[in-house]
Amino acid sequence: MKQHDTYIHFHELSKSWNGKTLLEQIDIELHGGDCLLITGENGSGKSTLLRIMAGLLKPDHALISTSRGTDNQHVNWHKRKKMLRQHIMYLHQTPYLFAGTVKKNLAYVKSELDINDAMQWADIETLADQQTYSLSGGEKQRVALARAWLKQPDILLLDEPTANLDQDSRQRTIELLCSLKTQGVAIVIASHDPLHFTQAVNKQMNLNNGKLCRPFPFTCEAQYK
Amino acid sequence: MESISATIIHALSLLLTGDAELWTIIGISFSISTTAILIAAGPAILCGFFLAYTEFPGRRLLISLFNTLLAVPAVVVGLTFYILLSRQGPLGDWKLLFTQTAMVLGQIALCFPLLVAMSHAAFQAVDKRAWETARTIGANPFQAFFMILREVRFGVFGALVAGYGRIIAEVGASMMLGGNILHYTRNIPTAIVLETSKGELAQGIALGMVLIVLSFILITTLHYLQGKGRVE
Repeated sequence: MKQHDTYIHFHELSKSWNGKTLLEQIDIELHGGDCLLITGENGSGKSTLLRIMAGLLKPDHALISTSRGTDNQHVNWHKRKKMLRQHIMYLHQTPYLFAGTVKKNLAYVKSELDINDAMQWADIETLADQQTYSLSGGEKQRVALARAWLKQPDILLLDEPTANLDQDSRQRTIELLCSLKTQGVAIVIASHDPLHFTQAVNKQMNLNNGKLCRPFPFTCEAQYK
Repeated sequence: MESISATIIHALSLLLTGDAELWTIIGISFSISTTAILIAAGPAILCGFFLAYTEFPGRRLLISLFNTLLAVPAVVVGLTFYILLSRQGPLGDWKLLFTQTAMVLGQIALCFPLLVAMSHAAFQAVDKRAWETARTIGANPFQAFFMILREVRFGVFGALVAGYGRIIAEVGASMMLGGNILHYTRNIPTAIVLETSKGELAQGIALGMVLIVLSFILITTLHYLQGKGRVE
């Protein structure tokens, strides 16, 4: 189980591409157990933001402070890149699973936790020896979340995690996300459809014209009912 | 000259009775080509990977260059290395001309572009999410490379098979760089050329049979691997 007092703060995060500003002075602070929903139209830069946060895409500028290590000052993204890749996990809209069995995919994750426990957690024990190319979208999503459970990242970033999933798979995905959240993993979900995540989310931001509205606490039921 | 059927029977008997000279030639051929492919494989696969997964100025030019080098005839590669290694050449002091090392160098130069082009194509075909996923589940760049390599193993095996097929059967570079010296640099293709020019068809046919059987094995393996790759 993770410590709930872990935090990470992205400050002055900016990115432009071909002269167009995609992200401008973004400020995000996350604590263990947070679940932040980032909404925005298609092409608003949600995926770009997540990829920068995961250390996979270079921003023009970003400062990061974290509870990891001794240095909690705001430090340049380049110097934090390794830390970001170690402690933040990014899940693509359609998770990529390597060729081979489900068990083999979970074995790739560097973890002290047991693969069988991960499969039990994600309810994929029956799929252990199944080849990944034969899995459905929902099953792939659960395997990807089992990898996240094994890795226990500080932050789990999900890009449209319920897109193309049926009602049942969507519900199971959200339940797994809630479970990760209670374990102290901070979760960031990028989606243009906020209604799916009311059960898990406790913060919401909207990305519009490269700017992120300040986060505000909200009660999902009150917000959407 | 013997009749064709008698020549073929003679060729088979040379093969089956373990003719020492014939099997020495076969041994030299396999030894040189295997050494060349083993030396070229690692750097060429890495090169293909970097061309597929990194962005740097001149990358497209480099890809075009490797694809162009695919079409360079073996004899031109042989000529280039002959000039480099000949006594008056810039590498003449190494005294490598007409040695097995020179033949290995020539064969490396021949198979390298093919290995790069084919492994680049294989890496290029892998979903870009694979690299990001590998990194995001905790793999360092070295480990992530091997995870991706596992994804493209059939394509890369295919490249190795095709590269081996190209160099074991080439005659131009081997002839120019090896000099066709009996029991030292005479390999299957150069021996076939020599024996045929002398009118000794039996040994040429026997060696040709070896190449045909080898080609069949390599192509069948390639098709099997590509089919298996498609299924996965």
